[in-house]
Formats: sequence, C-alpha cells, structure tokens
Amino acid sequence: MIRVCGLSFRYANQSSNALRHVEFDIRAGEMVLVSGPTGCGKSTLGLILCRAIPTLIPGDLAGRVWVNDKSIEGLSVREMARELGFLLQNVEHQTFTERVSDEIAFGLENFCVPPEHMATRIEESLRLVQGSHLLNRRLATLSAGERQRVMLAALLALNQRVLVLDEPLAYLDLEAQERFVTLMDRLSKKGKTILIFEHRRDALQAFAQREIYLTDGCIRPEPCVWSQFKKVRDYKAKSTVLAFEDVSFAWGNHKDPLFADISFEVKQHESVVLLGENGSGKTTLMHLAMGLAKPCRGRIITCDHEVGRVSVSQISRKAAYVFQRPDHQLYQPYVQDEIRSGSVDGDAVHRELAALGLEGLEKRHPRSLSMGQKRRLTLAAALARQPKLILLDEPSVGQDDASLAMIIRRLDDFLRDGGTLLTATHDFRVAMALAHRTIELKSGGMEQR
Amino acid sequence: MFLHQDTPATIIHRLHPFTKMAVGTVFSGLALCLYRPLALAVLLGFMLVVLAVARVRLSPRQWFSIGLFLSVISTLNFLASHDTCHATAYAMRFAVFLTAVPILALTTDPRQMTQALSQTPLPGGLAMALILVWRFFPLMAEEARQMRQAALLRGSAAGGVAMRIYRGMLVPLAFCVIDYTDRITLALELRGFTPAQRRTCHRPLKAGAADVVFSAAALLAAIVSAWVQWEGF
Amino acid sequence: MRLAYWTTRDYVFAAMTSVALLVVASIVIPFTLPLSIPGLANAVNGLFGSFFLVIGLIRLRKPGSLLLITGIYSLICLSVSLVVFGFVLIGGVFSELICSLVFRGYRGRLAPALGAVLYEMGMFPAAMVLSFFFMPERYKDIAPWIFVVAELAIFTTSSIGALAGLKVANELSRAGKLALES
Repeated sequence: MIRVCGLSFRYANQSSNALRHVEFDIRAGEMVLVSGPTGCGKSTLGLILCRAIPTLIPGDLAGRVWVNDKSIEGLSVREMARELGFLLQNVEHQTFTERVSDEIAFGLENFCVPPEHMATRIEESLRLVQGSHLLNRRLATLSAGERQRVMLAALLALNQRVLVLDEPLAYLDLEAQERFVTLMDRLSKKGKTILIFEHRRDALQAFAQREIYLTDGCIRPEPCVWSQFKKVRDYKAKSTVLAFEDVSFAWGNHKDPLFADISFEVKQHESVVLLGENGSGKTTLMHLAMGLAKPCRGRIITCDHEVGRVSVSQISRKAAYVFQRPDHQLYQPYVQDEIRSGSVDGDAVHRELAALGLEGLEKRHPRSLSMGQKRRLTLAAALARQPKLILLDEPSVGQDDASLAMIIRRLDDFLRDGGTLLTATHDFRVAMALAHRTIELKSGGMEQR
Repeated sequence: MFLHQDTPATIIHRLHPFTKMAVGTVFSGLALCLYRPLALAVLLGFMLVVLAVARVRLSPRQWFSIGLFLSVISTLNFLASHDTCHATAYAMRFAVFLTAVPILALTTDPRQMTQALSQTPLPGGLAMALILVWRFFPLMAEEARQMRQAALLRGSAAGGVAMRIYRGMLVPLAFCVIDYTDRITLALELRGFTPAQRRTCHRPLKAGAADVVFSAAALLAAIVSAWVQWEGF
Repeated sequence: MRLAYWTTRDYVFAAMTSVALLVVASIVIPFTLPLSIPGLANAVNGLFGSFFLVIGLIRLRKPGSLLLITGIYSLICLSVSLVVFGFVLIGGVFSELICSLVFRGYRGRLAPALGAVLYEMGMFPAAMVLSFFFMPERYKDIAPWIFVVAELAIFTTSSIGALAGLKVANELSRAGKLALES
C-alpha cells in the first residue's frame, strides 16, 4: 500500500537532513505507529506522504514513494488527497464551516461529488465514527474529541484508502483518547491503512500492528515504552503559597457556574496535579490564580498577594504561568534572550538550557524550534526567574518520553529548592510522576486525593 | 463549558445573504443621509427587531459597553456642536452602523456566504478568502487576547509601552499570520480545495418567500424613515 | 492546466493579513474614533496597518498584491460601513496603481514600504471626501491646514510602521517563516 525507498529530505536553509535514507513498506489494512523523539522527522515524513513537501514546503527531496502502487512524484496535494487522507494535529484550523454536515460536505464539494450522493456519504461516514447524533450540530458546540471525530468522518467520506493522523491524542482527555484508539482499531479491521504519528507510544503500541521509530531522521529499533516516570521526591511542606477559598466561577453568558465553592491550598515544596476532562476548568483555575480572570465569589491568595487587590504583573513577579500554547510567551529574537530577560542570575541561560535539553540552540530564533522545544523553552524562561510558584498547563504535549523525563527531573530540583508546582495534565504517567496530591475538577466541584 | 444545546436557526438565519447584505448596505447608506433622530430611530428600531427575531443576545456588559460608547461620542459631538438634536442623531447613526450590516456577519454562516459569493463573478479564491476572514477572525482575536495576557504576565521585563506593543503584540501577531497561513493552506489543499477548480454544492442557496417579506418590510421601514426625515413631524 | 496567478497560499495569506488588520483595528479604533479628530484614527491605525501590509507585500511580491489584501479588507469593512469600504478600496487602488506603474510589483524593500505608506496616505483624503459628501456639517468648520497636519501625521506613523515591518520581515526570515529575496 505504501512503499518508501531511500527517502531523504533537507529543508531549505538548513544544513542537516531532516530525513536520511528512510525505507519501509506498509501493507493494506495495517495500522502503523510512527514515533520518535521531538525533531526526529515524523512530521516531515507525514508532509512528504501528503505531498505538502515539496509542493508547499521547499527543500531537497530524494528517494521514491509509492502509494497504492502509484508513484506520488509530481502529484499536487489535492491529487494526493484523493488517495491519502491527512488529519492535522490542530483540528481548529481545519474546519471551514459552521455545521457538521456542511463540514463533511466541504471536501465532497471540492472533489465535485454530485450533490445527490452527498447525503448518503455524510451519514455513512458519521456512522463509522459513531457520530450520527452530531449531524446537525454546530461545530463550535462540540468538544475536542467530537470535533476530531467529525474531521475523521470528513476524511472517511472521501473514501481514501490511507489515513494519516498527526498527533491525534495531543488535545484529548483520557476518555476521548480511549474512544479514539478503539475507533482506529475498528477502522483498521475494516481495511483502512492507518499511519499514526504520535509521541504517546504507551497509548497506541498495544493497538498498532507495527511501529516505525525514527531518531535523527533514520529508522532505528524502537526502545521500550516508558510506562512510568521517576516520581518527584517528597519534601516537607511548609507555608501556604496558593489558596483558593470558596471560589466560584461562571463564564459571562452562562447561568451554571463552571465550578462552585472550590477550596484548596498548595504549600511550599508541594506538587499538586489538576485533573479533569476538557472543559472542566483546569486552565480557568490557573487564570484565576494569576489574576487573569475574576471569580464570581471567593478569595484567592497567590504568593501572599490577594488576587484582585494587586496587579497581574505584581503576582507574576513571584509566580510563573507556563501556557499550554508556548508561542504566546515567546517574544525575543534569540533563545538565550528568552531566558535572560527576567532571569535573576547570570548563569540561568546555560543552566536551564542544559537541564532541559536545549543546548546549542542559544542563537536560534525561538519560533524556529519544534513545539516540544518551544514548550521546554517557556518552562526554562519561567525557571530562570526563580519564582515561588509555577503553574504548568499541559507540559507533556509535543514531548517524547526522554524530554518528559528531563522536565520532571528539573521540576523535582525546583521543588527541592523551595518551589511549588501546580500542573494541569491529561497524561496519566506525568500525573503519577509529579503528584504529591491530585485535585480532580468534575461536575462543577472538586475531589482531592 | 461546551454548550450542548444548539441555538436553532431563525428565519433571519435562513435569509439569502445578499438580501441581508442589500438591506444592511441600504440602511447604512440611508443613515448617512438622515439627520433627524426620529428618522434614524425608525431604522434602528427595525434593526433591533431583526436582532430580536434572530435571537442575537448580548450580555448586560456588552449592552453597557455599547451604551457607554454611544454616550461618549454623543457627548463629544454635543461639546463640538452645542446641538442636542445633532448629537443624538450622530450617536443614533453610529448605532445604525453597529447593527445594520453586522447582522449579516452574526446570522450568516460561512458556507452560505461562499455559496452566495460563488454565484457572483468573484474568483473562487477571493470568495474563500472572505470566508477565511470571517472564520478565523475570532480565533486570531483570541490569540491576540492571549498575547496581551502573556505581556501582562511579563510585566516590566517586557520593557516600556512601545516595546510591549511591538514585541508583545505586533511581532507575535505577524508570526501568527504566517503560521495560520501555512496550516490553513495545507488544510484546504488536503480537503481538495483549489481556487481555480469548479466545486459542486451540498445545499444550494435559494431566495424564497421569506426574502421577499423581509425586503418588503425593510423597504417600508426605509420609506417611513425617509418620510419622517423630509416630510413628517 | 493553466497555472493560476494567485495560489491557494496567496489567497490565504492575504486573508490572514486582513484578519490581522481587523484585529488591530478592533483594538485601536474604539479609542480613537470617539475623539472625532480628523485623521487621528487613520494616523494611529496607519502605524499598525502599514506594519502588516509591508510583511504581506514582501511575501506576495506580485503586481496586484496590495489590491488583493486591501480588496479583501475592504469587502470585510463593507459589513461594518459603506464609507469605510469606500475609502479602504480607494486607498488600495490608488497605491496599487502607482506601485504597479513605477515598480511593477513589490520586489525588494522600497516598493513594499512605499506601497504601504501610499495606501495609508491615500485612504485619508478618500475618507474625508466621502464623509464630507454624507456628513457635510461635520467638517465644514474645520480649517484646511488641519487636514495637511493630519496627512503629515499619517505619513509619519505609517512610515514608522513600514520600517518596523521591514525589520520584522528579517526576523521572520531568520526564523525560517519567510523567504526573502537575496
């Protein structure tokens, strides 16, 4: 079904190859996991398969690729899309209409499918993803998992024999991840050839028939899956650093609160993990702690400042918030400047770069880094300020196992040196490694463990 | 956080986009020619009724912001002209602009707009570009909001006001434009879109009886408004 | 198959540049418009508008690029106001004509910067003419020299914005996001 021979690629203006002499065969109906550390060339391989490289992204491409026994050389992305469906990581940027039925029809319209055939194909594709009840819904009202299912249905409606999915688990909570993996298994058994590019080997290895593991652009034997990370050590908790007292919050137009009467404390040297489904309020809770949002009721004390009585910048002198999307927090022209600005000592740049696997990148532009590297950079910049409290939103997205282990080790040192940590995550292994305690947000309330 | 109840499409949502566009444009143009508050009130009243029928709900805070904005421009105009009637008319004209054509944006989904535009001589790529602006403006506005939050969190480490605007907002927004372009282009082409290629249509748009009734009601409101301006009271 | 003049990416880029212009305008204009000072909104908006336009023109480069971006922007402004649609389109046509005749496109640095500045400067007289036509009482008592000062202010701010845009274009290139001509 897919045959790759001697595939090499170097991006324009880069000195080293992103892919080196990659070769593999995938049979029809196989489900294959393509994994590897950040920067290994997974995304590059995906972009070559869908012909985005070289038609949209220039570079030096060598080697041959066959899909369905036909060479893909010379095909445009549109022509390739007849054979191979590609689901990008961020579903938000792939939707162009308001309603589910219209979104699935969008691709059919582009390929000039007769209108009289569209309704059947739309219904059939939604049935395959167990999303028939979503037919007339507005996309904006769907959860991340539901939206992903709709986009999958949009691909299935085009009857492509190969499906390629780029980091499909990145923004899904645990329940949605399980549902997704089961769906992929079912589609594979129905004869679809599926390639999943994913860091979360633990979630997919049991279902994939094969794994292609890339390192530095080459295929290598896959290492063992990390079922767990080394846990952070227990330290003696001291004074309270973060306190929520009977806090309730509701979005402007909503009658029902997102959560009500939440009370908890986080002490110095403690690491607390926030759990909960997408939409339960984890990010909102962090915004409240930093003063970026106002509660309807209750009191919040962050690093001895009562939120609402002092400015956000005063709070941020003692507390650091690392966003889920690192791009918004990168604003300097060099990696070293990101860490240097706001750091309290001169050694911070080298220390933090070394601790988080970013050595050698000092002079690079932060925006030229991979997503995983950007995330580690924003964390490094936060650590360089030596705050009392760090709020981390989904630190595992875009990170391979080795990078995650590095992050956890560095955070352990942070806790040892007197820091306090509040982390929101879907990754169960990260939660197990970081949690001295967990707080689960559920149905407007919370459970502490 | 996720709404599990869709707001049902009203008769206003089902109108042909060109009907709404024509009414909005004519009302905007007519408002520029009117200077009696009562005449402008007729147009504004019509638009508010349309908004109510379309079930477009604004929060008390949004109403307050709009009210404050109109009060400020009205007050400033009064200070310049010393004419209450003139100042009131000025604010009401703004109110008509705020409601007239934006109703189109609030009650027309991008698919309807693509279809409507594809029936004109506009190139397919241009029609898609307009859809993309409607579709991605809220997303980029949200990104800009998060950039401002990130700048707030940086505080004085980000530098003075000019540096905070430049480095904290403009540069990230420029990168955002490029990133969005790359992702959306790829997403469009992966779904088979090409500007020059013909496309079929899932649900063709047709102007119906509702368009005729709406246009007639709008015409009546415009005539009444013009009469109030030049003949009546 | 005949190659289209504008590719999908060109249209998308022009659309996203329009979105950025709209985002900035939505932040800036509520502060400047209530003050009713001729040219103030244009001068402040020109600072940011020319910034994004320069980057857009450096990326697109072809003759017609300015009109593509401002054409899309003006069609969006049609959903806000007829007057705004009018002066944005006139500014775009005016600057596109000059740049196409003189530079035949937007290669290099001078043409994009000049195109952005001419667009901002061209919008203001168009806005004044259209506003005077529809609201003569608003401007009849304003001394002519105020309009000259306003135009000079727009020239200054849009030039600053254009220069900033050229600087950021270099940074985009260094980050691998924009291919500059050597």
